[in-house]
Amino acid sequence: MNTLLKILCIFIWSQSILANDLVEEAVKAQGNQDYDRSVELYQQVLDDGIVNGHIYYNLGNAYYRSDKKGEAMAAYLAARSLLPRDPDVALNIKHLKKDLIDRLDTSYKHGLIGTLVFWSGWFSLSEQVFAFAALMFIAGMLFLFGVVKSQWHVLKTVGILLWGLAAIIGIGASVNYQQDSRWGAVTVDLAPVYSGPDKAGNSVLFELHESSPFVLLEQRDAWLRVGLSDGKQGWIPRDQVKYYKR
Amino acid sequence: MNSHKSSVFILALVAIFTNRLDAGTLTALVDKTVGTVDDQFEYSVSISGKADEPKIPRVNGLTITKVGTSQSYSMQGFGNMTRQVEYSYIVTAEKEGVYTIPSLSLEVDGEMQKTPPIRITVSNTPTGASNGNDGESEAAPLFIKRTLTKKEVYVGEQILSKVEVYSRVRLLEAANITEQSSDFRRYGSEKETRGQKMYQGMSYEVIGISESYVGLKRGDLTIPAFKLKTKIALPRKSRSRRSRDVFDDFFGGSMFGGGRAVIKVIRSADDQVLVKPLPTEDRPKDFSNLVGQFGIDADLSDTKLNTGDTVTLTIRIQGKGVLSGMLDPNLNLNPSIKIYPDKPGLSEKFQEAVGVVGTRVLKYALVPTRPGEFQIPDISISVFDPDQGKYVVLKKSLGKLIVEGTAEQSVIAGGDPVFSQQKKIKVINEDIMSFHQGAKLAVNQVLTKRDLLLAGSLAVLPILCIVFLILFKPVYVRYATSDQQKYSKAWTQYQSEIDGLGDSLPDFLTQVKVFRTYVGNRCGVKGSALTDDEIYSNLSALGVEQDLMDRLQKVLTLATQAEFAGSTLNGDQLTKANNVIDQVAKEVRKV
Repeated sequence: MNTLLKILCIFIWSQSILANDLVEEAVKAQGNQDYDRSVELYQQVLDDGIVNGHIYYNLGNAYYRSDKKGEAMAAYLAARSLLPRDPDVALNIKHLKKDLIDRLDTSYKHGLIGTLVFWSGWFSLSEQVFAFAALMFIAGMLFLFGVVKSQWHVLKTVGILLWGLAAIIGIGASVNYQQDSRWGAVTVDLAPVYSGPDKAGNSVLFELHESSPFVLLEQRDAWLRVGLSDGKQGWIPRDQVKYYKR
Repeated sequence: MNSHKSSVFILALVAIFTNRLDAGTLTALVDKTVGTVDDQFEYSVSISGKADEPKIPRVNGLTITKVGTSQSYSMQGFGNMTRQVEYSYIVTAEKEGVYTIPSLSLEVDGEMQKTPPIRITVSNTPTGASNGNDGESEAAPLFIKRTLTKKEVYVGEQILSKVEVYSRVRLLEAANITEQSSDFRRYGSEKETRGQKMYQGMSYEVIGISESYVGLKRGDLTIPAFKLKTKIALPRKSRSRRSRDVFDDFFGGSMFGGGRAVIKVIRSADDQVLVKPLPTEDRPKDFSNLVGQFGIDADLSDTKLNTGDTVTLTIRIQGKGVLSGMLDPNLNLNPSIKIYPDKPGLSEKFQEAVGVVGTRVLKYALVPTRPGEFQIPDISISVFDPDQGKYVVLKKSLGKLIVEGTAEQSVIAGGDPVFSQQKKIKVINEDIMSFHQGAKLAVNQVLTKRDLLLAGSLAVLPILCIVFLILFKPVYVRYATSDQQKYSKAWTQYQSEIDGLGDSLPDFLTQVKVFRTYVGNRCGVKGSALTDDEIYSNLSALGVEQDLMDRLQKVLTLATQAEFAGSTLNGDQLTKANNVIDQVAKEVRKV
């Protein structure tokens, strides 16, 4: 058992060392303005299971320098979900949005719940999950004291209020997971969006230009169902877009 | 041995005489002195004797290209060997005229030699006349056809042109040497198409080139002929073939002979086009100079902002036609909004089927200087659509700009005398922010199952406690309402009430009263209503020792006397009495 544990520790440690080496090499490549190599290395880091907003951000920069605006937009949007308040990420997305041909935004809040949790994009999914857990704990403890000590009945009221707040945060985290953490962008000059996941028997609803941002709603074989900030939805071939699974 | 000696002597004589060469010669000649712009003149320079390669001077309007060198030796008399070198050139003229190839000076065998200047006369080729260049006269091995989509256009309108180069020969090189015209702006595709076509019963390889011309001024104008300067591999003739054929006619019976490359200029016919002025009727005052089919899009980067902040207005015009000469639109904005135009972006490209298509992006930084709600006027751009033959207005509505903030802010942004002297920061370039570096890149930010388990446990733990309490509520409630709780409550009350009492008589009396209450509470009788006998019997029932009971009885008797008849108890006695009461109370609590 001990041996197994040691092997597992060594494996995790070696993976981490490997990822660090790749990141170092990628940083060196971007310093030498070898952006294609930099893209390749950052992609390798991500493929190794490392999830880091700064890696996505640097990947976006490397794509941008390689004149691949669609891929850059997808990487920046992935970085945003992990670093929602990072000013560099926000500025670079804003910079790319200026060159968008399609008038689309990079927010997707639809329906009553989407409107109520407008703030969920200000926090990462991890932040929201831990805030939810902490609030649930505090609210529960206060309620518990209120029950045990009848003269401290005010604690029960505070506990119930905090539970309500935790529920709102939980809904926000859920919306964040459903909508905000699955952004992508178009990588070809012009991508037709169909009414169904097949060219045969489905009509082209509209066309998207390079870098147009979308939210991934559903995947079916080589097709993705995407939602746009203006409420439009449709199916797009997977090879015409870039998105990052997290 | 003797014969060997004589041979060596003869060779020595030959060597001596070989060194004494005759004075050399330098000659230059052309194959013809009269020709057309489509013809090539063959110019050769021959040198007999020892000399460097001649340097051919440049002649304005002529292109002189070296095509080869040949060398031979000849014996002239005993011991007189002459070296002959011939340098061959191809001469082509760009346009008609009389040209002079100046004389060449060269030192040959130590003496300066000079050739006379050579004059050649070049005339313009009648349209499509010679060599079948228009493709109509005869089945020439190489010719150009050009077709235009329109012969009558408006100023600024595109004419699409399709050029086809028909070839039955092997083209080694081809360069477009079409003259620039001040009447037309020419756009062309970088790609060419290749295919096979039958023409007059013969198979040709056809190279297709797409172009478009935009008329720059009105009038009956000529689009100059499409010209190609080609290098062709001549077919090698068989020695038995004597008669002249179409290749001989086409290539002019080259004095350089077959089986070699020759340079040939081919051209299409000139095209006459009527370029009409744009109609003055219904011409809008703000006409943008755009001719074609265009669409417009415009947006504001934000619709709500504070005074002094910047919002970007972006206008995009895209479509079929030339966008480079477009005049900027008049925005007609409220004077309270300052406008800072950015450098406009323009991209134009040539597409084979439609000609020039482009996008022009205009950007303006708008800075409102006072708060309020400003209606942004429609962005309108007037263009002329040649297909419809009329002016069209492209419009885009932008809605309102809501500006918040205070008057002070607006003064700082726009009108304060101190701040107005300062310059707004000029944006030199726009770019992305730089790469991130450091240890933060190596941190894994993924939300693992372990994290979720931890968060879930934290959230659920108090809920489980509450559930536990609810499940065991009967036990809890029983405890909460039991005698134990009552006894505990009575003791707490007793403790709190005697706390701070001293050894004075009033304090002693208070303590006795509190004790009575405590025993009452302990025995389920509210207040201090128990008589002394009831106290003794209750305490006896609780199992308090008799000795202690006797002492308590004395203390209570003393207290009654002191309360109603006064007392002479001193401090020491009072302390002892208090201790007895305390002792009894503790004994009761133990039970």
